[in-house]
Amino acid sequence: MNKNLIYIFIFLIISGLIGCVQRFIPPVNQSNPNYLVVDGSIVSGQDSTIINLSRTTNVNDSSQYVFNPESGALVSVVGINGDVYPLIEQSPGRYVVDQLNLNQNELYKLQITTASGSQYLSDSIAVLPTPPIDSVSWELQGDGVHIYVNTHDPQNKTRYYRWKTVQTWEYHSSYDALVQFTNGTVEPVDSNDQQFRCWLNVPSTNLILGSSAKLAQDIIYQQPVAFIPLNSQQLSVEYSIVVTQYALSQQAYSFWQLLQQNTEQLGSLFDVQPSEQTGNLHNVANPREPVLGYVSISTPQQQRIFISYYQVLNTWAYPSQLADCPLKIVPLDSLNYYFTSGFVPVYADVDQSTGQLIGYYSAYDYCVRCVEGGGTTAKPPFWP
Amino acid sequence: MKFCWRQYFSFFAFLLVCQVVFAQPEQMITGDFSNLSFDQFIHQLESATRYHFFFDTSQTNNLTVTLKINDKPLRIVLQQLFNKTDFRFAIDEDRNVFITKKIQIQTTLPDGFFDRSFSPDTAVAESNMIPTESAEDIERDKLSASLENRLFEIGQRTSQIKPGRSTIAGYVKDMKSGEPIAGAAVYLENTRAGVVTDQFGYFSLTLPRGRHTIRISSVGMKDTKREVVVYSDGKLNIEMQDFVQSLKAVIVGAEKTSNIRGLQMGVERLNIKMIKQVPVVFGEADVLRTVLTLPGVTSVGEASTGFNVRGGSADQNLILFSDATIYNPSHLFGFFSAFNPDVVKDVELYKSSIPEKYGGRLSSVLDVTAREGNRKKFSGVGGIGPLTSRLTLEGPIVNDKTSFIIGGRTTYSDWILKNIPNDEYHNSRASFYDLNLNINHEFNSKNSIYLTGYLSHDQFRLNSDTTYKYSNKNLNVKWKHIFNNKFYSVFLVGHDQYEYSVSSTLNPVNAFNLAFQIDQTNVRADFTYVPSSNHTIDFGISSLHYSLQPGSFTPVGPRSLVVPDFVQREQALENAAYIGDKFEISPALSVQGGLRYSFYGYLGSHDVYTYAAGLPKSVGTIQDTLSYGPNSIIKTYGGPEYRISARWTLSTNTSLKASYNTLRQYIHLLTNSTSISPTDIWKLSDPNIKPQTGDQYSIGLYQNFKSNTIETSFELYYKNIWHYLDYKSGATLVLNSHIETDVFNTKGKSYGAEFMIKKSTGKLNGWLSYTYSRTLLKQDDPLAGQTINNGDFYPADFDKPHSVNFIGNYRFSHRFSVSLDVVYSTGRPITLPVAVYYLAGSQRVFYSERNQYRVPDYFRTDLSMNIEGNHKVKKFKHSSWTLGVYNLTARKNPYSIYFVEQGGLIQGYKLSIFGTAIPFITYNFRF
Repeated sequence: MNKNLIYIFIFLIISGLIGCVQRFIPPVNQSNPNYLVVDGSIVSGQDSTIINLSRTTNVNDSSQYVFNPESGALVSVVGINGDVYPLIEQSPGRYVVDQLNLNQNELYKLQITTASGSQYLSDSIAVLPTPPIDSVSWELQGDGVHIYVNTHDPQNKTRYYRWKTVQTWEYHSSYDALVQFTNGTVEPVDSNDQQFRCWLNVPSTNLILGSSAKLAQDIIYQQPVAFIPLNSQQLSVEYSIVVTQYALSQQAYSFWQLLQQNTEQLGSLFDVQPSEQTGNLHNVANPREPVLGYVSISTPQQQRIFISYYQVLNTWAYPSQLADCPLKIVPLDSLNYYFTSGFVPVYADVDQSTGQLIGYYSAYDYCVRCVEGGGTTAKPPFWP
Repeated sequence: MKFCWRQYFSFFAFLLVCQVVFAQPEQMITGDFSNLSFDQFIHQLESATRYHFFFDTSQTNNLTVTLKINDKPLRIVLQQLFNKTDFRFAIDEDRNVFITKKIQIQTTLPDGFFDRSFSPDTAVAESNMIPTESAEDIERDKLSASLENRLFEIGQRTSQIKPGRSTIAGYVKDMKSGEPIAGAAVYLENTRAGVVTDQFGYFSLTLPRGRHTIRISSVGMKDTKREVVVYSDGKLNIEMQDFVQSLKAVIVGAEKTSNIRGLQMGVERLNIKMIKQVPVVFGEADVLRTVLTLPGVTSVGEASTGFNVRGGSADQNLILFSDATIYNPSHLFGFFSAFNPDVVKDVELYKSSIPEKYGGRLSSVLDVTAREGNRKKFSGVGGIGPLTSRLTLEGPIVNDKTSFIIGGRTTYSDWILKNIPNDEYHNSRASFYDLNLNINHEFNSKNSIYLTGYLSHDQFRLNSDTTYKYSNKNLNVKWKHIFNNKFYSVFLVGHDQYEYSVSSTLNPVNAFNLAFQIDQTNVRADFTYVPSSNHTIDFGISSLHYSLQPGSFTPVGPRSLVVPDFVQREQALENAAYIGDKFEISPALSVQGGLRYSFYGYLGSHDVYTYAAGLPKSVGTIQDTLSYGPNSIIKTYGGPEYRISARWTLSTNTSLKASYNTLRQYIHLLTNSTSISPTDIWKLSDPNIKPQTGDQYSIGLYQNFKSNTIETSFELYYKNIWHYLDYKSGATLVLNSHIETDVFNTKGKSYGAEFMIKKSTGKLNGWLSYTYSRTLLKQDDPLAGQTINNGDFYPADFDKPHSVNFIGNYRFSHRFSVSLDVVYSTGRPITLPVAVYYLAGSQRVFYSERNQYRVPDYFRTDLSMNIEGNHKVKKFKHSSWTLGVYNLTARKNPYSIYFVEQGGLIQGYKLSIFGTAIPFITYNFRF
């Protein structure tokens, strides 16, 4: 056998071993149990407390965004000693209260009365102080940039942690246009209305959990919180991540860990079977009715870092998008046609000898308007 | 090829020829010989004449001579004597007489023998030799044919046969290698009363004194018979030949009736030859995958370690490899079984009537018998495949007394994984090896000793920093002692160990090693007493000591802050005594009754939690912790187990069998994944975890057709299972010192029907089986803290109602055969989400009713070809190629269906393990 043949053979075997993963559309199931979902946590301190109330939807709605808000409910945080802090419904299903200052020695409950009159109550919740984040660090490895969080509790009391992140990065469109098409005419760009620099905000969608329960000291060392794949757009200009740290009780940690197992860690050869899970909220009249979600009270801690392209300059090569963005000259008589059908002018084409305007160099709108990539042109307040 | 043989025979002929004969006066013989044995006759001739006789007594000792001779030359006397027989004689000039069977000895060289121009072709023609490829077989055929026609005298010869019964005993062995043949049927031709040889090939048969024909048949061996005259108790060793399939004349075993005659039901026996015919992925014969094609055996998926027998869970199978318990019978996540096919002799699976000798598991006993080394010559076998290589050496240490076999297997998948240009696999590692060593020694005809050693090791890392390792280590010594023909015993001392570890060192602060280990030491004595031909009594005692390290979690490296955590060591002793009798009431009706009493003690030192009565067991309801000292008895369980079966022969080709069994199991595998994962733990029964118990009723009809070449069977069964452990939602099973709070008892029932049609001889052979089976569990105990599916029966994870298996093998020639394997089964049950919702930044799914849906049905076809090299007997090395395609239709059989969050939305996926057709090729050799 020659060497190539061997490799082909091995490839065939391995492709078999690897197996294959295909999309699966679940069978049509009309039985939506319509359970109440309580999403959010109670914050004691500067930040607002946001509780989102919704109802489960049909399983056929998976893989598309369907939010079924529970409007018109009365939501409040109730202290064991009788103090009541109501939340206001800001938008359908979104209940908010600013700056709760809760007593660390008191227990609280979340109380929800739905528009239909059902009353839900959480178990008693203690206010868990969160130790500050020691550092958010990053490391460039062969496959990209790994971002870690480090923290510790000198009193060895916290033990269970959860983190949320929001990644923000600046990116640029392929062309910084000098002209723009407005109301049928091409005119120089308004300097307040730039289309070239955009910022994208991406909150974490996966659960990031960590525990030092098995360690001698309450130290979280190099807990991975985010990953930037090599040569991706995130680090094409500048990148920032804010990590918010929450202390959890052991029960809350178990709840989130099971949710993680059930919805994020499947697909291996030795999957744990998905299972039912119960949170810390109950229907007062019918304790057996599942209420989805787990509410904790904590004093979150935050830390933000920035990573610039210049710090990874030698390794990072965000591929140029210019190949997808050919420049095309649109003659003056066709401006309306092109500039209303996906083309955007970039700069004027002038006859070199006469100095006369011939037309406009133009490109697809996504090559010029960075907002087409999903970001916004408004510079975030924390951006340097 | 042909040329070689001619040379060989010419050489052979040269050895036989003597000097040139010349004329000599003949001596005349006179005498009246009546009813003399051949020996006596020759003795008289030799004393009366100057002739010397040369012959093989084994060929002539059945001959009797009655002759009246009056002054005749010896030539005429012998012609008269051997008239119409196969015997030939030759007389040379030195008055040497050669008496041979069939072959004529030439006392002279052929004309022109020393002439250089003489062509070898004519020499062959004249010496009447057959230029055949399988001359060795023919030689052996002759030998066995002569054994078959010879009359064996058993016991002290008496002039008159005394009325009554005697017992003959002995070993059935392979003629070529001297290895014992287990499970061979030894029975009387006329009454069909018979016995089956034990694992050492030993049998004991009681029969009326006098003349009998004993028939011997075994799977894969050529049927043979022995003519005996039994005077008193005695010994009879029988050698059997490999069943070499002939192309022109298919030898039909007319007596393959053991499925009809046997008392046991629900037993499947596979010998390694059959196993090697079944196509498997990667081309290496695989014991467990072949077992999976039998009716009533299923698995949850292609990469699963375990198998499920008649609706039992994977931990309810007792897997024995030469009497050593194998806790993890697979390599490489279940892609290979842990048994090296070159070391395996045969496999027996007991599904319903489990012999009373075995206990400790609820569903089945898979008894894998290892080979004993070749007692006659040194030889080796091996194979080279795409992922594994294997080599086995065997041979005599002391000829016909002591032999050994040593086998090893290893994989080089690491090398392949490293070469894959995909990070996910590039960073993965997987490797395994296993080693077998068996030594046996026969001290004398009454005492033999057998040593079995087994070691397997697996190690893998799948694109992460976490390394998994597991290994089996087994060692046992058996001593077989024969008291007398009717009574023999086997004593065994053995130690079995299974351990695994998981370690991760990527993060120096969290670097850990998690380990688990089971050690079991067992001692047993098994006795068999055959008082008469219609009773076989088995009895014995056994003691099994378990010692478990249920989990240790320790730091690795100087920077690790991991606090060492040890779950308390567990100890228990499982003792059992059993007695059983096979009683043949009449040739048509036999019954077997067995009683096994097992007694289990959970031993200290250990702390045991007590829980508040009437409340679910949880950490919150722990009332007290009781501490027990070392070796104190904390809790005992025990009870009788009944094993009853009966066979009623309706005709020579048809029988009806029924059986009832009860079983107990004291050690449990706790898992919350569908297939057994390398980190599942075993748990001993303790005050909070009751032993599992079960019973099974079954009935079967067996019928053979076409001179017993086609066997059919139909079996029905119903099983009850009590205290089967299932896990609670979100259970923690690893490093949990109060595991009873995370599991609950379920009640199970399973029932089904199995149909099988099998043709084991001929050019076309194989089997087709259909199984209908259901396994349902129920958890309705409110004290468990939660009920599953509202306390209704729900399908177990391995409930697969319909399954069809076809294995077919067609032998085109001695060198070329093709095998086809077709598998169909209903998909296994899964839990699908009933709703979706948003929580913690992403869409999530809500699971409710357990196992209410199924993955799509499973269907697979495999094809393999076996190409043998030529069959030169004198060749140093024989080789064969096995090539084929696994999953020929490239169907993407789903292994699992799962829903995962991706970018904030839930996506459903279907994972297939062998989602394409996989070609394979393996080179096998033996020398």
